[in-house]
Amino acid sequence: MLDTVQGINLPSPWSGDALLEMFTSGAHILESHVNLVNRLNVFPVQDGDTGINMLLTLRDTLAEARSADGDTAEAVANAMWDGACMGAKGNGGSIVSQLFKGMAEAFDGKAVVDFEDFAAALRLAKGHAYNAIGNPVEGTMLTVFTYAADAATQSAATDSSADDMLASAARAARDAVILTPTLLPRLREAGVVDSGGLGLWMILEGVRRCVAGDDAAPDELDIPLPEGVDSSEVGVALEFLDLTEDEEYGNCTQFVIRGEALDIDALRAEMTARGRSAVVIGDNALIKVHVHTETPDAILDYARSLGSVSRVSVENMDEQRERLAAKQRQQTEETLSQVIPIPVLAVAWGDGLEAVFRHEGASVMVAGDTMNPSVRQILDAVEEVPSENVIILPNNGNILPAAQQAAEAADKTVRVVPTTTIPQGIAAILEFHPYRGMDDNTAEMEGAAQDVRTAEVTRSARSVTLDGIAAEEGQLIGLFERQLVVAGEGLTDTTLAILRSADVGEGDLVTLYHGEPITEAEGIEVVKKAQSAFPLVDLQHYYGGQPYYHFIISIE
Amino acid sequence: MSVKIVTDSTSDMPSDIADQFGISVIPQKVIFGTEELRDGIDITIDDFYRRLEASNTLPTTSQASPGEFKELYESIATGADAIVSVHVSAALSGTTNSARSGGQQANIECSVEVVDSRQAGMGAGLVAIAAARVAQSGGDLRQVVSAAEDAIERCETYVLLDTLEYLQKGGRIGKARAMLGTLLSIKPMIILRDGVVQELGKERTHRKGMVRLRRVTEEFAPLDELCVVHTTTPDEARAFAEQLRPLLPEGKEPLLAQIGSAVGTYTGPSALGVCLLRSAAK
Repeated sequence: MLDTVQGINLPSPWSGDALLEMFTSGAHILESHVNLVNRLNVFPVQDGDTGINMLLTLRDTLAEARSADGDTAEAVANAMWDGACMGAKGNGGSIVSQLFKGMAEAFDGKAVVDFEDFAAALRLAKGHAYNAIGNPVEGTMLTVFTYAADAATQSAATDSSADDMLASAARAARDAVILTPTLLPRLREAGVVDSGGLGLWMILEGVRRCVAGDDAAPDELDIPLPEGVDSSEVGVALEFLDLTEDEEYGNCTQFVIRGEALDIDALRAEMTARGRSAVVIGDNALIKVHVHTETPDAILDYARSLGSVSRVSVENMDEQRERLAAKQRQQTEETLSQVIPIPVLAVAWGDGLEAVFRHEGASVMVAGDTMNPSVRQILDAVEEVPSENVIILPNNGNILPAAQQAAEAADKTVRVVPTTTIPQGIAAILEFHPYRGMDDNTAEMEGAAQDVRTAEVTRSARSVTLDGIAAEEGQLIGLFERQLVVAGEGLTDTTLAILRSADVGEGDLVTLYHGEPITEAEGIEVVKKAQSAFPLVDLQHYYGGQPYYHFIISIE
Repeated sequence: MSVKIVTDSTSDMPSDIADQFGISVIPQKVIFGTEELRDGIDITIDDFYRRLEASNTLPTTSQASPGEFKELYESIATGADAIVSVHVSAALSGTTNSARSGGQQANIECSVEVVDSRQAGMGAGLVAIAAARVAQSGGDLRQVVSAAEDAIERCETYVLLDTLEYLQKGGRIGKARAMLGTLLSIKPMIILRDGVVQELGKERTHRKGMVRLRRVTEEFAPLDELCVVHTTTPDEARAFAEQLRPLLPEGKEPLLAQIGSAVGTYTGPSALGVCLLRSAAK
């Protein structure tokens, strides 16, 4: 659907047709590299397809421009802005559409436009782009807009050709793309440049090539990537996806409001207050909104009070994330199928904790605090372990005696490493070594288990005064090595009180496994606060999935 | 008359030690993408680790060519009775093949004996040093080669890594594969056995890993030779070597070496390890 004539110089002044051709060339370059732009995105959900969003927005822009009312620059730019505003998809599309808003304003009343007008359009577009975003952040497309607009303005004032002006703008945009990881830590962590910024540069580079008659093929492009990164391999570090996966949640809500004398600034402020990643673009007659929210109905009701609402799209990001998580679980299953079984039977309760043991090769018996297994049940589980020698990790003081009885009664040779907590069990299993005999393994594992300390956050099952601390039934309590150290505080304060009791310091490793009573987001929140309270401690956070315990904490 | 000793740069032998023992070191090559760099000449070891951390793809290493071996042998053959060329495990690299062809092509009077150290890094370096000690005290070819072979039997190399990442990427995980399933972040410890990487253990913290490194070293004592090796942490390596000094015979100094590109590609930054020769007595 995109076609353009390549290799023909297109000097200014430009008619509407020329503008159409220039941006068609930009779309070509973006299209050739759209997968690369997609892969660079650091948000794994909803906004994961920045390249596609920008490209689809551009296609709507160009389609509208083709049916413009006349061939004047004004008519085509207005059509472009209509198409871009209505077609804007995602953050990337919304921001790039501001380019066309700038053009519509700068080309107002003009049949043809010169390169100075184009520089003015870029300048206006930059301002709109910043305003469209609730919380502007540098190191994004906005920075690329700024660089390109400033360079274009300066060049328009000093140089005398459209070629020079566009070359300056494209070069500056490319420089800005290279700068993005230095401005934005999350890009640095992921080892990428900003995807939207890269896409914007590609569009400007296409415009430049069209005007200069540069007939290089669209896929021939000197792509600015971090040093040592190959464009065929670039992708966001998986580790980083894990970290950011939960920052985006709720529903990605998009709609258009038509009305009279709409107050775009007030609407933007409202959307920023009510949701996240708010992008609000448009004018006093037509506004497009993109916002992440948990209450899309309330937002839509509010919008309907302002004008007529259309093009509503509500996508559940939780579902998207769930699909992503399912894919990751499948990969985990694949890894698990390659794990070499070891003759260890571990008792655990909670899918995250069970997975930790399974990934070490252990067999897992699901049991715990309110679900203590009988000797018979343990014997049955021992029988299932694919080995004649079995080491049991009971990981619970109430299960230890039954495990010891089972060891005596079993037909197999069974040893019990007397672990009474999950952290002890994890320390023990990491010490298991396939090249070591059973007695040596048991002794070493026992030593490792004693090297780790355990803490727990849970709700008090009854009102009691223990270790000089009074806890009421239902209050949050913190236990360190099974001693009550804090009661009646919030989740964060309870966790911090435990870490103070444990006297953790530099070089210590604190691993928090969050359980069923809290969400991952709540877990992350606590871990963040604990990390700032104990900056020298190595804090790690995993999903445990255990019932009753908000956190099981290992300190070593 | 004399026997001359040669090794390659993957032995990670510090130049002062090479000079002290009269050992010639042939540079191997490290390849980043399409760029070929001579180990230690075109790229310093510190620069190598900076690039390794920044790069998404692993560099590869390539052995010196037969022609380069030929040139080196010809340049040191004058006045030598024989050349003993000690190299990285043939299970890991084709260097011994290059050395053999180079020796055959060399236009020299003396013979070239190529020794497969079955080791990598300073493990191979310690074998070369053992050979050089005998050569320096006037040993003949047979005595020098047998000193090298004896050292190979007594040599151990093991390293505490900061992450599994580089072993995993490099695919050189050998019998340490069982560690790959681990869900938690761990500090893996690996040991080289017959040129193959095996799991020595895994710890949750670097500090515990250091305790384990020390304990393993004590289990190998008494020692004849000891070298603490590191990728990016010279101060820690120096302090650790001081702790281990009592395991060496009176008056013998522990050595220090920085792990170079060949081994460092698979260990990554912040790795610390030990290469040693057990005493003949044990």
